[in-house]
Amino acid sequence: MKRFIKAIKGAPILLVLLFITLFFFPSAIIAPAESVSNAIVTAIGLDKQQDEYEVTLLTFLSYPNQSYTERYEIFTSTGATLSEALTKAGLQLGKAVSLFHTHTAIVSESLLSQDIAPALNYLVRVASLPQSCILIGTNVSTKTFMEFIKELDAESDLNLEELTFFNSNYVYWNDTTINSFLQGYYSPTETSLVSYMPIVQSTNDGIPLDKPLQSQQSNAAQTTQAGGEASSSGGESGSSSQQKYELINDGNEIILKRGVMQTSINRDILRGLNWFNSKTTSAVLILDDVCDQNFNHAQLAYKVNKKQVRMHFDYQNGVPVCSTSIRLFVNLTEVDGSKQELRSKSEASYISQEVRDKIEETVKRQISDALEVFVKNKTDVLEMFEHFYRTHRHQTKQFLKQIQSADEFLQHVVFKVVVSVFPN
Amino acid sequence: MNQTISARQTAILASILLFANKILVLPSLLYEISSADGFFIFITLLATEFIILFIFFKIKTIFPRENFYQIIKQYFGIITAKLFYFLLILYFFFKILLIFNISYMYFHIQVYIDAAYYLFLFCFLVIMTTCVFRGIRPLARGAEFFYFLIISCLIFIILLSFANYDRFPLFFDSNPANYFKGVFNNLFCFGDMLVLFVIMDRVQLKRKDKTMFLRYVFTSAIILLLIYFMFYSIFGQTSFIHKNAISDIITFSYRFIDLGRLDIIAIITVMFLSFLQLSVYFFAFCQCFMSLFSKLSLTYTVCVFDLAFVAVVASSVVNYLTAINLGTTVMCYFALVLHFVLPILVLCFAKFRRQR
Repeated sequence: MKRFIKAIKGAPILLVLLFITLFFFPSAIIAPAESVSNAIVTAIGLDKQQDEYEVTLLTFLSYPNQSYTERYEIFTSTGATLSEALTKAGLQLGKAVSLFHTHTAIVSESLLSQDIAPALNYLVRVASLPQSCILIGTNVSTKTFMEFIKELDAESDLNLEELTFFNSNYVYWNDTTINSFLQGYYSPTETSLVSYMPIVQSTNDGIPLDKPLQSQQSNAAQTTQAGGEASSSGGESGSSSQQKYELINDGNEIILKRGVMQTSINRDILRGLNWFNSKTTSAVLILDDVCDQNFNHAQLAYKVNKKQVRMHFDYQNGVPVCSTSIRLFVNLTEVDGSKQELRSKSEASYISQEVRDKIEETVKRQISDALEVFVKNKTDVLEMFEHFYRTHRHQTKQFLKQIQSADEFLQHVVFKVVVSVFPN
Repeated sequence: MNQTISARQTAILASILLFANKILVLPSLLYEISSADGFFIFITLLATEFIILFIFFKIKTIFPRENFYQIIKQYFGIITAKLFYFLLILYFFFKILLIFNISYMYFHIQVYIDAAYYLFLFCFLVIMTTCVFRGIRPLARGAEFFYFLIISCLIFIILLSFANYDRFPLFFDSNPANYFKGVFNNLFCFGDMLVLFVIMDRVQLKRKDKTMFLRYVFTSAIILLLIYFMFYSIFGQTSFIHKNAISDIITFSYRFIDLGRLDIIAIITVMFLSFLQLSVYFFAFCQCFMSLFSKLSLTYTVCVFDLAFVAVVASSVVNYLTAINLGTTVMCYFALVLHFVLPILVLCFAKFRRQR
């Protein structure tokens, strides 16, 4: 003891350390577990009902059990502002709402009819929602969407995170996170693309929900309750409790301009857009009515295994020209129709001049269809303005003076596309 | 307190100090002022660090063993020396406040949102006080010990951030006025080499050591440039939202969702950097205080600092936002005088007298 006191005297800082240890260690031991004081939200839904924000939280509840199953519950609350709605949700849960582990944010169409950036800005900057969180738009109320997802996960192990992760990597034009939304929002053309997953009634298969589907037009009278108990105030579908629903994960996306939904684009339009994107290779080209030395009015399916895209931006006679060279490495995967003698070994790499022309025509048609939609909606998803601005800043500034705004830029761009097809 | 440190240890301290204030909130602050051209503001301000370093080398060559306070007193008189050292005391005190608040906010967001301000305060103060009582040599040896861990973690973070690379930053899109404004407003976040002047009588620096010294500082500078470049490449127009640059460049992507808390590497790095930087600045503060009030002991100096620091923090006069605000307004003038006017004046007078 004497030695200890001597050592302490020699180093008084040890006393401070001892004090801190005595003071903080017991407080750490008696402090409740984080999961007791914090509700871990894995998905958040944002909705707007009669000028009030509705927040739906898919919350992980930790409790001791022997089956090792994870328990999730859905909680909903409303408020004039998002902070009020989240505070109310915390009160209902009896825990602080923690958004650190939130992977998915779902936004309903009713909220998408107005600028969603302020709401997302609040969640990201103040409520600590990660910007890597994937953003999804849907046609139903977010509460219904969450309930469906919960059931989907329970019945089929199909996880929303995994679906969106796959889409972001292989299907969509870009990843549809909150960060990419905000990057588009703050870009000169103020355009973003967001994943869109509608839920529709199913005639045969599907997942039954206890409550009828509440579409955006019909859930105005919905009241708020905790514990995942949504009121059934009569949806437009008004169907019985045995009605089945299905999630349409068809690679659809919605275009947002200044944070407001403009239009939705289907898989065909997205396919046209993706020809400019070398990352997305999950494309299949279906050529109808191919007639050449080997095939007679056959339908051929070619899989694109590799894609090389080179874009060149230039001004020709004062007009912005985007020259794109697309090199496709394809192989024949399926033949529907009559064919001549074709050895199986060479079948995969079969490309005749007719096939090359057909592929080029198909690609150009898909690109043209996609561009038509974007020009019509004045949504520069391809970021043409930024590309030209980066490469020809002075000329782009001059050109901008001639047109009304950067919104009009895309319609003045001339696209020259060269498609080269190679066997893989 | 009369310990000396080797040239290598000094180089490591300088290399670690170079990261102070620069890898968390500064990239987004620079973007707010001048968009991606904030990168050039950063390069300019980084160049000023090297200017200060070269001035230090010159002065150290002329006065290999003298104390900086004695040098100023010798050329400008005791009143001017006391005035400059008073400014230095305020400068280091505020620098500690700024680094503390920025580090606290970082840990508060990334590690433990429920942790009280006072928990961080006591943790930091205890370590800082211990380091100062132990002296510069154990502090420098500690820095030497953790240096390679810190540098390895930072390089690993940069390598990871390449997975999130998006596009080349859009440079030269801001007007020159914003550039100059950015350079002036953020002067206070730089000038970390000023610490070397305060501890110059404890540094054993020979002519041949300068290359080695520069190698360490250049390594830090290159790492910083890469972090800034990746930050502006990854976030583009949304750079101003991201306040914790070092963590955000590796965690914002959905690609890393399944890897869990990847930012633990950044957290560990910032933790070591903060403790070392704060301790060195505290040591520099004590040196200045004891030079100004030569009759006061180290214990008294440390007590004065601890009490003043707790009082300022507890009164909430200076918090995260006000610290940044003061750092980019009032403290710029302090920085201008102390980073450039003082070292250049001392160097010029020393050369002039030497020639005579």
